[in-house]
Parts: sequence; C-alpha cells; structure tokens
Amino acid sequence: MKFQDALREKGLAVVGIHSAVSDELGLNALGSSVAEFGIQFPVLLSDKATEEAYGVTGIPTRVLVDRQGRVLFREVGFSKEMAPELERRIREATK
Amino acid sequence: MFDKLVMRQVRGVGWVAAALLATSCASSPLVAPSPVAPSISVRDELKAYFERQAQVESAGAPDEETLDERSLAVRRTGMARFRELTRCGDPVEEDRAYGAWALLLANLENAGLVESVGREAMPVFREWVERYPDSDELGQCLWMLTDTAPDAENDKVLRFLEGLSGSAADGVARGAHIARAGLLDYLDRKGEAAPLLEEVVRRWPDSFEARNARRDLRGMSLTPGVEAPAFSLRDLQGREVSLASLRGRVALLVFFSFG
Repeated sequence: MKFQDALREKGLAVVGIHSAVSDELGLNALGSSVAEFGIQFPVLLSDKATEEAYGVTGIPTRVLVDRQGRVLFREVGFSKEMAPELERRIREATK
Repeated sequence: MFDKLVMRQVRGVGWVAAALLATSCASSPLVAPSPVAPSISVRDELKAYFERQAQVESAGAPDEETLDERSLAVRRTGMARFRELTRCGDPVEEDRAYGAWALLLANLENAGLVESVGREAMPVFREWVERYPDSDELGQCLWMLTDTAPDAENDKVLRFLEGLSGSAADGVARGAHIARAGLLDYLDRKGEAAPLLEEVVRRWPDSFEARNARRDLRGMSLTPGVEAPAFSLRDLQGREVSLASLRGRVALLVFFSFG
C-alpha cells in the first residue's frame, strides 16, 4: 500500500483496460467486481482496435508508458518473479 | 535377452512408458498391446475428468497444501488414463488421447507440478509424432510442450520443434513455428521469434495462428522508446479517457479481464 501511495504522489496513472462487455448485464457485473476487489484506478472498456494496436494476446498485459507517451516496458502474464522487475521500472520512470 | 530389450525401450521412450511396457510385456512382450473394449470416447472421458477436477478443487480443502496434493492425484490419474488410451486400438481416439494428455499437462497451473510433470512431456510428444505425424491435433498442442517443459530442457525442445517446422503436414509445421516463436520470445530471443511469426502470416494468412501471430508481432514491436498507440475508451461511468489525456504522467496500462 505504501508503494502505491508513493506512486500516486509521483504521478503514476494506473489505468485498467478490461475486455469489452457485451451488454448492460455484463457492465453491472464488471462494476460489482471492481467494487468487490477494491479497485481504485479507473477501469476502461477495451475495444478490438486497441487490443490489436497493443498486440494483446494474453491477459494480463502490462504496458508502462513514459510522460511523453512512449513505451518503457511491456510484459505479458503474471508470476511472482515478475513483480519486482515492474516495480523497479516504475520507480525508475517516476524518479 | 528379454530384460535387455525392455530396458532399451524404456531408456528410449522415457520412464513414463515403463509402467505401460511392464504391463503389456507381461502378457505379450513383442507385439503391441491389443485393443481394449471398442466404444472408447476420449472426449467423454475428458469431460468427466474436468468435472472430477472441478469437484476436488471446489470441495474446500482445509489448506492449500492438501488441495494441491488432491488435485495432483486427480491429474496424475487422468494423465495415466489418457496415456493408456493412446494404445486403445482406434487411431482417431488414440490421436485424441495424446491431445487430452497434452491438455492436462498444460492445465497444471501450479508451478511445482509443471516442473515435475513437464519432464515427462518430451518423450510423449516424440512418440505422438512418430505414430501420428499428420495429426492436426498435434500441431495445436505443441505450444503446451513449450509451456510446461522445464527450463533446463528448452534447448532440446527448440531442436525438436525445429525438426517439425519442415513437416509436410501443414498443421504440424504451423504449430511448430508458433511454439518455437513463443519459446524464443520467452527466452528473450525476439530477433529469432519474429521471422517465424512472419512466416506463419505469409504461408497461412487465413489461419487462426496467423491472426494471433499478427497481434504478437505488433506487441513485440512495442519496444522501449516506441510511441504507444493512441486510444480513446470509455470508463464504467461513460467518461472518455484517452492516452493523450495521460500525457505528462507515467502511465501503467493494464489489460485484464474478470471473465
């Protein structure tokens, strides 16, 4: 939690991009899940063009973007080993 | 003489096969095991298997360790069963049985289990290629081998897949290209992965694999320093959020799904 607070202070914007939902029902379910998991960051609804442009073939895919809108780092999937690497990249970028 | 013959086969095929050889050789050492009862349906058995697995994993084990052990037991039993069905005597079902076995292998999400069972993968895939070299199912399952083989076996897996890349069977060649590219990408050898994906797009432009390959190539092209693709999407309250609106801040975009 401390790490997250520090990041917010330094201006890191976390944005969730959730796969598209087909109807109102799906949208409500997504809203409930977001509340249930206590997700604080904005959650956007994805579309095919965005997923194509970012080459999303697996979930989760994380892309770190610098202040000028350039890619810093991209990784697909999740494992315990990956977390420190992403944390290091974020620290570096928000210095 | 007989013992030596068995030992040679065991070494060649791998220890998984040892039990099978032992049982089949007991009655008839030099001929293939005779077909078992006709009406075998791998698909039905696979469905039943997944129901069993779901039961074990939702039963609410007292602690995680117990759950792992029970789910490992179910998976091992399942794998042994499908392995057995690769010798059931019906070529279609045998081919499917290899596929089911591979699917279970890929389904071992738990890292510890993948490591131990992953070592069994290579000999089974070799045997599958030998018996059903034109199998479409085989082509679709090759990525499972790269996903589950232990890191120490990566070179061996790459060589194996390279051999299959030239297969006359399109499905196998395509699957081998995709699997090799995936493993090379994982090993951070993107320079070698990209040409394989490009070849898939060129040779089989309408295939499912080509569609994914195009996306993978796009993802790989997002290297550090490249401008992030623009987007403008709505949040859950209907407000528009674009990449441009995040300018001036470091942003972490997380593509995810609850579904």
